[in-house]
Amino acid sequence: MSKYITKRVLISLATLLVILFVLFLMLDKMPGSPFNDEKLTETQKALLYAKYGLDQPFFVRFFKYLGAVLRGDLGVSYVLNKNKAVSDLISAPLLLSIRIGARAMLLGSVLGLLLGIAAALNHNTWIDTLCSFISIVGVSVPSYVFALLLAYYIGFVLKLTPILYNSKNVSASIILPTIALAMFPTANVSRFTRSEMIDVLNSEYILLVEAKGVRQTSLILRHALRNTLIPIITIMGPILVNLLTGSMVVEKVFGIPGIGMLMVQAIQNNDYNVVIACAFVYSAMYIAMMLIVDILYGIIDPRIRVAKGSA
Amino acid sequence: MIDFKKPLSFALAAAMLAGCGTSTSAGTPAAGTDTGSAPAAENAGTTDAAAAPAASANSSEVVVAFDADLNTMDHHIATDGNSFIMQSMCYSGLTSLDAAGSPLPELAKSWDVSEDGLVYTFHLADATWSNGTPVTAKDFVYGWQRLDAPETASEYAFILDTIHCVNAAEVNAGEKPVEELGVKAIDDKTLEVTLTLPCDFLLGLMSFPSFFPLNQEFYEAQGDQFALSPDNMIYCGPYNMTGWEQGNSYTFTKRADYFNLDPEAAETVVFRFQQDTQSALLEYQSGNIDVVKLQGEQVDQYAGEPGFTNRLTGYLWYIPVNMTVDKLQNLNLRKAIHYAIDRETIAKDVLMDGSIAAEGEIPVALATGPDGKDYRESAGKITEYDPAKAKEFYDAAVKELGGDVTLELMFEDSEASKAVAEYIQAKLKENCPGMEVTLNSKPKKERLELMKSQKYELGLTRWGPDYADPQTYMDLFLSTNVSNNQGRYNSAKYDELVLKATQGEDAADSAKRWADFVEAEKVLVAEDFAVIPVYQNGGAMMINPNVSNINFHSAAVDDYRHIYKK
Repeated sequence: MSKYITKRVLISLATLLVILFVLFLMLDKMPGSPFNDEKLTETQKALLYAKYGLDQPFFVRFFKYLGAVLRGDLGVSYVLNKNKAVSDLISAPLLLSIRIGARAMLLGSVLGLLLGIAAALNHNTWIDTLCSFISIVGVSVPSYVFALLLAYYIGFVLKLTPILYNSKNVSASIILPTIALAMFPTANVSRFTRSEMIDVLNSEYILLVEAKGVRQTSLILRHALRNTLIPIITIMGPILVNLLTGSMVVEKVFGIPGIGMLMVQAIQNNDYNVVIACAFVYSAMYIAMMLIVDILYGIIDPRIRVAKGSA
Repeated sequence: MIDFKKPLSFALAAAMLAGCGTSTSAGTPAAGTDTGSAPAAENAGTTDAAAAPAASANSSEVVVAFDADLNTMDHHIATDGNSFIMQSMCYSGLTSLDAAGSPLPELAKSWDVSEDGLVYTFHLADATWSNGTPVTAKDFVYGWQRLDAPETASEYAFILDTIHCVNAAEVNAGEKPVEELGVKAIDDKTLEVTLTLPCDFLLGLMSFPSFFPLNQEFYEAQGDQFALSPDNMIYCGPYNMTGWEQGNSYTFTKRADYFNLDPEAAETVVFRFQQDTQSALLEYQSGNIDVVKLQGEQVDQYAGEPGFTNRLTGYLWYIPVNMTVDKLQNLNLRKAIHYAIDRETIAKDVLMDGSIAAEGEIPVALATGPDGKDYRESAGKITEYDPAKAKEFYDAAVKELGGDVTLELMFEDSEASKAVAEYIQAKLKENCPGMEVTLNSKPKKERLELMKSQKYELGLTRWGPDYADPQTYMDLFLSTNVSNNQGRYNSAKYDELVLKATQGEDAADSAKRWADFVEAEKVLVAEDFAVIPVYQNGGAMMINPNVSNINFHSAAVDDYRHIYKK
């Protein structure tokens, strides 16, 4: 197991390095620059390029940047909160986004599992239809619309929660964004749970368990659910990606100073160091998620652990 | 989004009408937030608690929503409007502007101007920085020197040269030391500014953040952390910055010790960054936001409601024709484009945001001439929509060029620009039968870069004035202006007129200077047709009817320093 994990971690680190290089290269090739204002004269532009070392050749800049990153220095922002260290600039937004994202993931998974199990156990009844309806709506309604609907009905009409993010009242003001973000995971997990559960419940070993007279709850929790979970874990990666991209929209609607909004703004402003840092963080989260999924896989399904570990 | 928007806007309108009937219901939640923020107001005193329940007393907090974030509080580095607005909350200049845009004494209590208009002597008021040290002439000298020093790399350093401050260009180019800049402290309270040429708009421009002072001792003590957080700033304006949450909100609290205190002004002003105006509008309806911008269809939806405000900005959108492209060197083709564009419809039916058709390259309400009239009034309307003329000139151009013309129109990927570009494309095709127009959408920064390097044919771009004078636009099209003359317009006649007015024989004679500008603009727009003015930006917004005293300036920084809410 430890050999398997070590290998996965090393591959992840190498991937991150490649990502960093590609990001750097893409930003370099992207037309425009952070210093490209209507008012900026050529002389001033040259001064700014020299000030931030942007006048140097690509590889010099890349290796300087890489060296700095290894020392924990992500450079300074060129546009948003000008001259502030990027590490300081992104830490608070990152934590806030993770806080909301983790809640959404948790809420979505739990709700999705419950809906899915309820649907599978009541296969072809009105409960099943209702659960399917919820998941279809969840997958097909764009998050922008769903977020605005929540803001309008829950925040504005019913006045149950604040509409916009308020740092004086964080817990209350992240309720709506959490629900908005949880919609997609709920829908997906419930769809997967339902179909997997139906499959599992029809399998022969469940028949055997039933024949042995195991109680219904134990049958579902210990035997059926465990086998249902394996395929569901595989969709956690895509769900996380959706949470990350969805957060950009949801953060914009609810005015949350999170990493998604920061990244969108940084891209719009060609704020190189901030774009790289945000994109890098996103990649790292995704890769970490894949790593966790792989490891969880091993824990839940011994066959995978043995096969991959010896490979 | 489309399916959803209509029921929501209907519901919103209904909710709004309902809200208007009972103004107290809108006021109550706002009062609730006041008490919540009370700890932030250090010097709010005892009146704050008493003010909260009483609906008649001025409210202590006003919340203004902006759709763009704060970029920097360093006034020598800033380039964007919102940063300038927030800097003006907590810093002051030698002058400030009244509602009409005329200079009033601020940190300078009075001034003398030499007879030749070349030496300004400012006498400073007894103001202090927020740490208690007096504001001195030395602070201005240091601030201006930092603005101009090449190592600061300030994008606004040019503005010192614009007022013709002695040696401004040389210092910025690194040819002379900063000490030789034409600004001196005669004593602690007397500042002397020396110019190479008279500058009609200098006093008004002293309210612009680039010219604000800087306390050398404090600045140097901050190292590279200066102005990155409220802890690394001291203030010389009517407010202290007391909250900075990047990407979310910026709080300003009134200074009790400001020498020129406005007793009416709100205790706390919060600028709230909210990119999505739809949810910001919901907060406006709930009474939690007092000022919010409207975009696109929202303008139509809210027009006529109480609180709806339409202000004209100084931004002028225009098409600088790329004169380095062979076919566009044809005068008849440029004339055809000029006459084919229906500017009125663009403003009224395409944009619908309070924008107006451009009458020339200089916007309306930018500058007042020596005769007391708006520049546009003196210069008249020099743009024209005339489909018959467009067709006639296009036919002539086709003959001269030996066939139909295909043109590409570049624009940036904003909703407004896209709508305008598509409309222009349709009009050109309609009024110049045979002409092909393709559209090329680019992100703004990329569009700027491509246009600056003449990699375009027609391009929709804009310019915002830096000061209330036609020169801010006229300088753009000088043949020597490699940065801003995107179409590489090169006219000896135009250059001569503009240079005569800005630095030649007419520079000291306001009336002649004005006449030169009017003449030059005519050459540029209606003789050479090198620049095709399209529209002047409007800005529609909702302002809580209880909120007063915001001064919008089309050619200067909007002033929220006296805002209050009843």
